[in-house]
Amino acid sequence: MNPGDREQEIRRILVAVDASPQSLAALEMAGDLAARFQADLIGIYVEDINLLRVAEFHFAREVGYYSANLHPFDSPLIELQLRARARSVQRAMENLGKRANLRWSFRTARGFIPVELLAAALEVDLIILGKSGWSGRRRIGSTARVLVLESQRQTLILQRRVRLGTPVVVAYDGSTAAKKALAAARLVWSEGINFIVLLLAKEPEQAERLKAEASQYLEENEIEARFSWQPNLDAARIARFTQLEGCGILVLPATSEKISNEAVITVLGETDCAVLLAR
Amino acid sequence: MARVNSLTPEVLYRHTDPELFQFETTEELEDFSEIIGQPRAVEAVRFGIGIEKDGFNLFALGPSGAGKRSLLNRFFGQQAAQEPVPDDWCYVHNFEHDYKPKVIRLPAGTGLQFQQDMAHLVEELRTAISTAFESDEYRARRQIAEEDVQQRQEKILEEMQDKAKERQLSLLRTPAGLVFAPMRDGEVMHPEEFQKLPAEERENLEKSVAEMQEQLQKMLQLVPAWQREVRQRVRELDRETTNYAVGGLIIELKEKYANFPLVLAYFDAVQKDVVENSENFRHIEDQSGEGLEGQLAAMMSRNRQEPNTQKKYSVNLLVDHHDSKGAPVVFEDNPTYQNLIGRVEYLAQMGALITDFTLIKPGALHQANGGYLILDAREVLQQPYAWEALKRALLSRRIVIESIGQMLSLISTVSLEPEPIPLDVKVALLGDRWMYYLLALYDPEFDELFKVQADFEEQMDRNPESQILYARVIATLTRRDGLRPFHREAVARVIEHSARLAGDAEKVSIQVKLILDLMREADFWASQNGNPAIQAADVQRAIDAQIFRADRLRERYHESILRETILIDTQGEKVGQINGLSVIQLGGFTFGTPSRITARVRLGKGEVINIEREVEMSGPIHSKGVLILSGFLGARYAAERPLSLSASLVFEQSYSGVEGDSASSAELYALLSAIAEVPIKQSLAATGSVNQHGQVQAIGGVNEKIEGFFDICQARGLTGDQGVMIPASNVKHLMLRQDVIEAVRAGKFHVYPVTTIDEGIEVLTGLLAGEPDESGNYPEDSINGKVQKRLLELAEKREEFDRPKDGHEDTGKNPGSERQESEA
Repeated sequence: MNPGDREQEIRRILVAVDASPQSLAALEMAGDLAARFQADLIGIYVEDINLLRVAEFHFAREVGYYSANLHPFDSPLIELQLRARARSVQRAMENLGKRANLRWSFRTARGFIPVELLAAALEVDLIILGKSGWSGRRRIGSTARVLVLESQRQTLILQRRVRLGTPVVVAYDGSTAAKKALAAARLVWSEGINFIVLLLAKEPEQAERLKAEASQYLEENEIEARFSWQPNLDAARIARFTQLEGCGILVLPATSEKISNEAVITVLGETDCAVLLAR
Repeated sequence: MARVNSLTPEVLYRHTDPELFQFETTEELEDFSEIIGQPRAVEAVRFGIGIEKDGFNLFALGPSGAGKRSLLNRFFGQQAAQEPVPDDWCYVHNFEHDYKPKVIRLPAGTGLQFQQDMAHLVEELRTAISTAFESDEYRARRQIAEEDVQQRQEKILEEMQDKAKERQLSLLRTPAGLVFAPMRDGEVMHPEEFQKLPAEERENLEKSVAEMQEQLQKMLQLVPAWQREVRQRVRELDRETTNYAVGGLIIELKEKYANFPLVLAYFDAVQKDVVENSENFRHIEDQSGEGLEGQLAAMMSRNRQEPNTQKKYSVNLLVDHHDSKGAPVVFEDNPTYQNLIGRVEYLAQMGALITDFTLIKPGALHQANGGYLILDAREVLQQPYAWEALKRALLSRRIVIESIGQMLSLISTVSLEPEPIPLDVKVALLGDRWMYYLLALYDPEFDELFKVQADFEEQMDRNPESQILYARVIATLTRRDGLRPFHREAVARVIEHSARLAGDAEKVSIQVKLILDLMREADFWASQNGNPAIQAADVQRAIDAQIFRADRLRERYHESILRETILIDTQGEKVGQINGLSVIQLGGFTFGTPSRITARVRLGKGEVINIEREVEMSGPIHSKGVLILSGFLGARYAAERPLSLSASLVFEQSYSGVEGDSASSAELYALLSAIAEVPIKQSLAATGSVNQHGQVQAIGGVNEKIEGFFDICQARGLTGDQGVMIPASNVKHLMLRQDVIEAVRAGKFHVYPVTTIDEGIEVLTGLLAGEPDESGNYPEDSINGKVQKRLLELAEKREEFDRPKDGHEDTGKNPGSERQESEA
């Protein structure tokens, strides 16, 4: 029995949605997972308190992203914009809920986005969000960064649209967190799809040992996996490995000694597959 | 005493002797594969087929059922089998002008290959282009292009962020853009806190924000140009990638079709178009979006895009000869405008009518191009604009597909103008004679286009050889139609009936349709009677049944006579009254019936009044016949003095007009009887036309006329005096019914052949006609003498009336004389 199995049951999923393409991709994935585990899906839209504050400055002006024009930026305007966003997010959730026949709820919060999300995450088993929100950058956004560093729950971060049923790569270093990662990978894996275990070992012998450990667990769970080991594996190489394997979801142990938080952030910045941080 | 003798039964019907045939049933006979009785038409068709000059199309004229179509089919078929298979014709998309599809001509069978090759190419393109666009090379190059602008954008924002930080500001993203805000401890400064700042600091911050905004604006203004640049680079990359994917596939095809410049040009156009529109071949991302509306829109977009791509590069194989042998022979039985020259069909899509080159459908001219086309002239003329379209195609030697609406400028829907196709076809029209003559008369282009007339006979000579051939035709038809074989006596009966149909004992009808109908009916009766071979009795039963089915009106008509609603005497004698005979044709059935003709005379100026003509119920030929009577009377009896009678002639109880001159002899007999005041035997009926010299001339429908009078007499009881007088020249046409012949044989009915009026009047009155002496006078007791005498009396009376009574000159035109004349 893997130590992570008991905790791996997913009953409640939180998805952070701000209507950006990345967050909608996160919503789709959340829908898939909620349907798979018959879990409750909770959507949250956080109205950024920073924006509301800016609007109170009399000199605040908004520079149009596409037009590059200056627009007045005041409280009523930002209130309207945020309400419109929230409605649009709610509609998306409604559609998804109906389509996938899910139990779902939606709420709007107001505050500092990471703070609100961390608080909301405490009530759920898994939190799903986009990597960089509206900026759409390859680099990890501030919200995702905070969640990587501080979330106590399993966290799935998406940069593009990924659905269940894509190849899964899981990084395994033999730690407790890695075992949880193996269990988490099992949850997001679909039968008949590649399941690749990337062994995080410095020496071949150690890799062999890790392989034996992981194999046992996987055999118990009737998963036919492929193993891969590379010497001197660092964050950038892990990211490259996922690209080469056509990986859809990369599962990383969040609290492993072998992979620091900064390494996780680097991997997230380099790869375009979804990253599930197993805790 | 009468000089004319009644005809013997033998001449009333010319039998075909079954002994003529050397077989028991037609089963023993071989098929007859030649054309019977149409040497002229056969020669014309051979000539028409042989000559390859413009306008030597054929017009087969003759009655329906004369075998026009089967003859043409056979001759065209024989010729076509020796000729090469014509080319295939394809329509393809015109990439320069959508509405003008291009035509491509390819050798027979190549069209289908070309069509399949293009369909295959589209499939291949889909795979090849998708593969090319999914390749790592493409992705990498595209990513580089896109990444470039992305990075530049990110760089701007990072720079701005950094600069902002230096000034204790932060760059925040709003739903619509970007804002700068003063920061403290990683948060946007609270406005109240801001107010607490020294004024100078506040001013500095505000100033910084304004400057940063200005800088950001300047930077962001560069972005659209970068994006354009990226799009341009991606487009170039797409083109390059597609060209590479398409080029290889098209080169293979170009080698295959190297001998066809039009096809090569088409391939070039396809390649260019595919490169320009490569997105049509790439996998369409699922754009289902949110909700039902999004899914529907995505589905509709896919539905529109995929078939359109397939269609655009497909080949409309208009004429396909891949499995043809020889040149085509086409018979179009519904030659509408569109069925002749082809049409462009439309599809209803979202409430609008749309079309494209794949909806061009061929017409009979396309199908027959390079071969032969047979059309029914009446059908072509009945269809609006079909005749004009056929002529235009033949004259211009090309087929232009144009809708009637377009032609008449009635509709303004966007339609196609397919490139015309050169036409090389031999057309044969089938039609009645009158149609040919009308077309020749009224259509100036007809002579130019249909220079060969194939004139079909309705009948042929009846002699032992032709009757043996006829038997073989019957044998062939029985086998072709799956009928029982005909016993030789049945064959003889068919031939006799055929002679009756021809209305001539010395001819037989070659209107195969009529004979075949009789044979089919005889076969039915044979089956009813359980005869393995069709007997003469079955044929007779079929003839009787045909007559019975058709003769309701004849029966009603004769019933009216027998019930004396229509007055016809068949015994006794009357002055100025005679039984004429007329023929009524209804559909395919003809019957004869007697009509009473009466004449009255009085003093007058020599006119014979045709009462029918006065009320415009007389046809021109009938009127002419009556006028001839005046000529005859004047010349024979009043050459030296004025003809001083006024006679009136009428068909009694005639309500529907009279046409033809076959009653003119009867009218003359009635007139002579009235003038001479000598009664005519009502037991006789007369037919025949007459000329100014008193000769009796042949008429039509002689058999029906005799039978018509016979039926009335028989119904009333034959007296032995009754009979019909016919022109002697009609004796050869006699093919009378068996019951008439039997009555003649028994002496109960008579048929008198006459050559002159004198012979006829003798038969009718029993008096001699009389010959003139040297001074032109006829014996007093002869009919002619009595006529002459009466006319003389009338002339003298008139002279007396015309003489001035009180010594004044009278022109004879005063009202008094007119009044006295009419009273006389």
